[in-house]
Amino acid sequence: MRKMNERYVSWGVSVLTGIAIFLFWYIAYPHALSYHEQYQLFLWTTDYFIERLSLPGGLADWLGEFIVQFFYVEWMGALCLALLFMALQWLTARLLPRSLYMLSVIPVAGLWWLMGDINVLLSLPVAIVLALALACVRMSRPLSWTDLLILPAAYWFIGPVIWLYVAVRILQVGWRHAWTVGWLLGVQLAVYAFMLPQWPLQMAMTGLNYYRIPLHFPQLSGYNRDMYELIRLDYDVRHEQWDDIVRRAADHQVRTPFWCNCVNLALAEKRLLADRMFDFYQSGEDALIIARTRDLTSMLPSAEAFWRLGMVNSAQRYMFDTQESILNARRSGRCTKRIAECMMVNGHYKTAAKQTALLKNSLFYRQWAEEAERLMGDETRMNTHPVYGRLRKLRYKENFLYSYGELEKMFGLLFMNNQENTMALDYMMGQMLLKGDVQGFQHYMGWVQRYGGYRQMPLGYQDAMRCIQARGNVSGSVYADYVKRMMGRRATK
Amino acid sequence: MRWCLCLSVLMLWACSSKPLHPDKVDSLPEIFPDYIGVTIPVGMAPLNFNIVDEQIDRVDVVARGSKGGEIHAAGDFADFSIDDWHDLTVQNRGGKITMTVCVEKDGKWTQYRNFDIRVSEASLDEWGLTYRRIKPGYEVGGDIGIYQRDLQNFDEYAILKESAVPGRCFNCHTANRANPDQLLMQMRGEGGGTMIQKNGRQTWLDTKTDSTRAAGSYSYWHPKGDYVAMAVNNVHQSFFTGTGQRIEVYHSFSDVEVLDTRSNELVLSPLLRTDDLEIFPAFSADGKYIYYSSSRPCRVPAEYEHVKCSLCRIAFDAGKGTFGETVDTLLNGPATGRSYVLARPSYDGRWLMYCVGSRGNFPVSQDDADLWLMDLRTGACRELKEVNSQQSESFHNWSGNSRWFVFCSKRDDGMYTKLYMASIDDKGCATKPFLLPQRHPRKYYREMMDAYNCPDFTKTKVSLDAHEAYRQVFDNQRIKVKIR
Repeated sequence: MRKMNERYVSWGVSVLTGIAIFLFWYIAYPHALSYHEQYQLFLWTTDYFIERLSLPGGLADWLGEFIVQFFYVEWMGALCLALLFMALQWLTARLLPRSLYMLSVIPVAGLWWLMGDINVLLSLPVAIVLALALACVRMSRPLSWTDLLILPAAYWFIGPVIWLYVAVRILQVGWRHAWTVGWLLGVQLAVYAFMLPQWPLQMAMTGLNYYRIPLHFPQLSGYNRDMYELIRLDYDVRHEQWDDIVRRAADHQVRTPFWCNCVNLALAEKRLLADRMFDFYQSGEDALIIARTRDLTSMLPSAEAFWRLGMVNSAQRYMFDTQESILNARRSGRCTKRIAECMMVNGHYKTAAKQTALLKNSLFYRQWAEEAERLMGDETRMNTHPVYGRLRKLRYKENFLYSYGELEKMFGLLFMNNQENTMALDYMMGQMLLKGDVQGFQHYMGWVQRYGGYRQMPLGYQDAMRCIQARGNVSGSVYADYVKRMMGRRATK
Repeated sequence: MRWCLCLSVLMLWACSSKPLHPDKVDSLPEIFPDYIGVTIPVGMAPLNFNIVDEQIDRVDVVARGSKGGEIHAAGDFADFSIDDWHDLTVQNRGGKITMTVCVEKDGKWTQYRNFDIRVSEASLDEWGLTYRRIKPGYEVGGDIGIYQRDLQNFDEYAILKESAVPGRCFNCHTANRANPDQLLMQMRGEGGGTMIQKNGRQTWLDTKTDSTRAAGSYSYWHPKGDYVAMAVNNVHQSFFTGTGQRIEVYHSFSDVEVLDTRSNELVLSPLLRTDDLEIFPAFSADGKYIYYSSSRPCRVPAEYEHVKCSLCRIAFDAGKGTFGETVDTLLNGPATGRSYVLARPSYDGRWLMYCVGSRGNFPVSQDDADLWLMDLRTGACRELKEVNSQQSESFHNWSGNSRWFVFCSKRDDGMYTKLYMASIDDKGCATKPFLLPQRHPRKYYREMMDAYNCPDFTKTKVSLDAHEAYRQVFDNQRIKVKIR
């Protein structure tokens, strides 16, 4: 009876762990899954597999990326993670004395907390599970010498997490097994010296791809609210959840240009930018479009704004630079797809075909890539395509050099190209307000009245005009508050 | 048993489709890469190719030498045995290899008109090529790397990859006349510097001084190996809104200086440090001159179309380490409305190859950049029409015997620069260039997401200790150069 109870309890703990993990990722943090997925394009090719296995930790890496591809569909991603964490809990339980069974949730909780650092890659939990699974294989003391062979192979497949296995074995077999410490150290150094000519020692010893940023280590920061809010907004932008962005923005502000880019894009998509832009925090001249930044996230909302505005080349540039800022040299399915789309809109079919050829080797982008290839070269279909055809009408007709410092002029030219592009008009007026270009704003109010499609002057513009006419002395004016904040910032610089 | 064996052989023969009675058509096959009529050196890796039509069932190719020898390849693409190919080229030096291509599609065989590949008398004595691979993006280099490639086969080796020095950007690797015993490389940004490797020993220098405006960049070795000429500049990019050229690269300033690698001293000349932009220096074959380009200062990027480089020359005395006192203008950019950049003298002193475009001083980003050739004996210039395309040609370099050259071209897709090689005869006529061979060319080039640049020949395989480079970069201990 007691045994039966224990079994129920153990099953119960495993199942509860799985349910908790599933709900956590699926309900609360689906955007974290999307974030991981968009920076690890898994390819179903032999070359991809061989490339991963050509480095220590490659099997864990390949398996991790295999799982991450399913994050594209959130419930599948959450389910995969739930199963992985259940495996971790179950393996830990197997290694612990039966009386300490409940302690098996501690590694789960620790790893779950560690994964709050968004740059921890799934290859780390996979490697831990593999190392524990190996440790669970019962080995009698006379056979302990087999670690002489197992350790090099296991290091190659799992990476330095295999130290976990060494530690468990020493606990299982006793201190006489401590020779494996020296042996594994020797193996690692030999691999570094002879098989990893293009990798630093630190990475050979601590893992080539457990963490997205080379030469850095995971931080026990947990789930930082502001950071995950930004990831959530990017997720909403990716999935065009404009209402959700506006709703969230009203609840919680993260005072960064990235946050502003997302919120302003959502407002523009809802045609609320002119009315409500300054109801929300604005970071300055970079609140609509951020300047080029070398990291893998900051430029994404601006790239999406460029794409929707019809600034196709700029969208391609920002996506390309984002793609190349992934420091562990992985590819991004999201970026590659958008780059291909930009190339298609510009009629660069040969280079677009390179991108689609890559995407065709993935699971979740394959169908889109195949459809895109059927469109390529068919100018009639391209020109009548609801997205690509429209963008061809919106994009610049003239060839000139992009100038970040003159964004309002660039938006203005875009609008003059096609007066149906009211988003460009909203962005132009918004950029003038952000820069404090009062004359420009007043000058182009006529355009808003004539082409903006508003029944009455937008509330935000009315507020700005009042503020301008009263030289900033308007109580309750949100634009006046912004101007004062900017002037204060300039004064402190 | 014997009957069984015979039956098996018969079945095998029946299954392996062969072009027994193909329909003959009077047109050349469409192949990738376009190797029709190209000239190759003896010992080059096999010129494997694909049929452009991806719907074919099978291709069957017979390569027959004019001086003897025949090899055969069949399958999804023409994949020749490396050894057999080498034997064929050796046997047919100075002759030609005639390709008979048959294609099976929908169960029907078609035989195309034969084409020839010429095997040059001129040897290519180098072991291989070195080049940088970089994503053809904008301002972020991504997973950048300097590689080398054995030209006799398809093997590629990394010399230095970003994984060895994470987060760092490196460029302008330069060997002395394809001799990797004297190698130079620049690294930008934090921990940046100039690496000079002589006979396997790395020295890391900080070439920025109080008297010079930046650290060294585009470099070229003096033939004796004591000096390196360098440009000192600041490079920027701007981006077009149209659907043609994507990027305009420009420099806000640029000077030329010479580094004495024995004493780590800079040799400066006021003639090379003017308000004009002096760029892309290269020593003449005898080391007595430095060729470089020079353009008037413009308000870039606004006046990017006004950047017109002249091709200039200044004397250099390697014995004394001094410059001449006059500058010769060989080709006048503003007067002709063109820009002459990236002069590369052949090592035998006979030719000067350079890029000509409508503007600018960074030809790889200029769609209209073409290769031209100057006969240094007569001063006569001509466009290498047999080599150029509608897209950019640039970053050319000579083989040791000056009979072959390698260059970058965007002719294939306008974005991903690839490497081409061609030979040149004593009259300055070049042969049709051929794309760097790969074992499975279509697969390789389709999946290759990098662009190639800065290619050069290398006499032997380059040996560079990347672990040592990492230590040097992250220790950040640099030898400061001095002004002589």
